[in-house]
This record gives sequence, structure tokens and C-alpha cells, in this order.
Amino acid sequence: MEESKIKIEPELKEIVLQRILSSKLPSNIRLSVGNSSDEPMGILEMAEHVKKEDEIGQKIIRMELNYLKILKEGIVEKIQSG
Amino acid sequence: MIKCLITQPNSDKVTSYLFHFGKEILKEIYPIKIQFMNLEGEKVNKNNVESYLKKQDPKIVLFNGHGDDWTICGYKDKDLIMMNENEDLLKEKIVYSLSCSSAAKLGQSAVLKGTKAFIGYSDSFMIYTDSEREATPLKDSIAASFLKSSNKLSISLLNGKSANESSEKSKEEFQKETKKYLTGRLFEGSERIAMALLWNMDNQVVLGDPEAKIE
Repeated sequence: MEESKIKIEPELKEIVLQRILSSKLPSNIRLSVGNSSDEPMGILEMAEHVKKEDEIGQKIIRMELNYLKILKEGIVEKIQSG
Repeated sequence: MIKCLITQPNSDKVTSYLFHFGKEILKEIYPIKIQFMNLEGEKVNKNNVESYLKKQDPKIVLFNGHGDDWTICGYKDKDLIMMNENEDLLKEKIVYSLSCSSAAKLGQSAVLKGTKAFIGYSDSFMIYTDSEREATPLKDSIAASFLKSSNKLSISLLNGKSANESSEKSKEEFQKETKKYLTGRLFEGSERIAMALLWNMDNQVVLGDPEAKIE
């Protein structure tokens, strides 16, 4: 069963993409999203999924937007000072 | 004595990490005697799980593996528990499902069919790992930030804490680990790890009775 695709504004997608591409995460630190991919992903693979807006890309976008929302709400500051 | 079923498929990189960190739960000393039924590898199949749930009646079930909104998977992603098929076997039990999205629909259905509490994730569980540590997962400090936060939940349940208290302990740990990675303190780009930890924390939910605990 497939999850329904959510609509993502092109501007938001571009922000997410640029944030990923400008990240200097070391190449050995890699992301797994459940069993969506055989191998954990590096930055470039994450960016590819986001560009294609496939299932993994959509999840990465939602994670990034969730983080931006948390930043806006000041929760990250609370964690840092807590 | 309390019976606890643990599934550890260990059939790919992610489930190998869950397997190694999951073993840490078995090493803890608990105030109540726990009889673990630890299903590993290809033994994590529908027949074995259904048989154990029916015949042994464990009070706690800890699922580790892949999943989706409707399913918890076993070895090589074969279905173990499926919505509207066999989730009624989780009746009267406290369940923690470390698998993607199984709290979104399956967990809710299980609670409607009598599961005391279903703790899981309402969306995908994200995990960063260090490819240089794949052969020795327990030495992977990045993965540890994710999986020790998850283990807190299982350990807390087995220590007799309620579903809600156990989830809170896990979330406190996710938050503590998040702090390490914010603002690129550890290495450049580490904010992305914080992002995934916060994602998991936000998606961890307790369904059913928040006060459910082993007696």
C-alpha cells in the first residue's frame, strides 16, 4: 500500500534542497529511512530524492520542515539551554 | 514472572543495528523476573510470532524491524502483524514497536481490539549511522544516540513504569542526545542528526492506556 503524495510548495522544496546541499555532514554519516533504500544515504543521495520528490524525498522534506517549525517555535533554544 | 517477546529480524543493515542494540535490553537487571522469548533472524516469522502470542501470552511485546502504517515486519520484511488480520493477538498486551509508522493505523486498530497500550511511531523512524562502524554497531556513537533513546523505553517498561512514563523517559533521552548535535558542536553538519532525533521524538506516540504497566 502506497502513502498518498502530499503537495509541497516549490519554494519550500528549494529551501530544503539548498539546506541539504550546503550541509557539510561527513560522507561516512548516512541516513536510513526505514527499509526505503538498500543502503544508507549520503547528502547527495538525499538531495536526489528531494529533487525527485519520491517517497523518501517527501519524508526528508517533511523532516526538514518539522525542524524549521521547531526552530521557529524556539524549542531548539530551550533544548540548548535546558 | 513476566513474559516478554522480542523480535529481532537482523536481515539488513538497519535491522542489524536494531538487533545489536536490542540485545542491550536483555542485559539489564530488572526488579521483576522477566522471561524473554527472543526471536532472532529467520525465526522472526508470522507462524512463530502468532504461536508465541497465542500459547505463551506475553505481557510485553517489543517489535524491532521494518513496518508501515498497516504492518509490522519480520525477517526479510515478511509480514508479522497486519491490520485487520491478526492485531487482535496483541489483546491485553503492552506493545512497543520500533518500526516505521506502525502507530499510524495498525497501532490504533490494535488498541480498538484490546491492546492495553501501543507505543510506536506515527511516521518513519529515521536513523543516521556511521559507515565506518557498520561492522561494530555498538561502537557507532551516532546510531547509539538513536537506539539508546529507543531502548530507554523498553527498559523503562520492563522496570514496571507506565507506558506514558516510559515514553517520556525515551523522549528525554532523544532530547539529551539532540543537544549534542545542535549548532554543529560535534562536527560540521551535525545539525542534520539533531533533526532526525527530533523527528523520531515527535513521532513517538502512546496509544491506548497511558497508565498501562506490567503488574
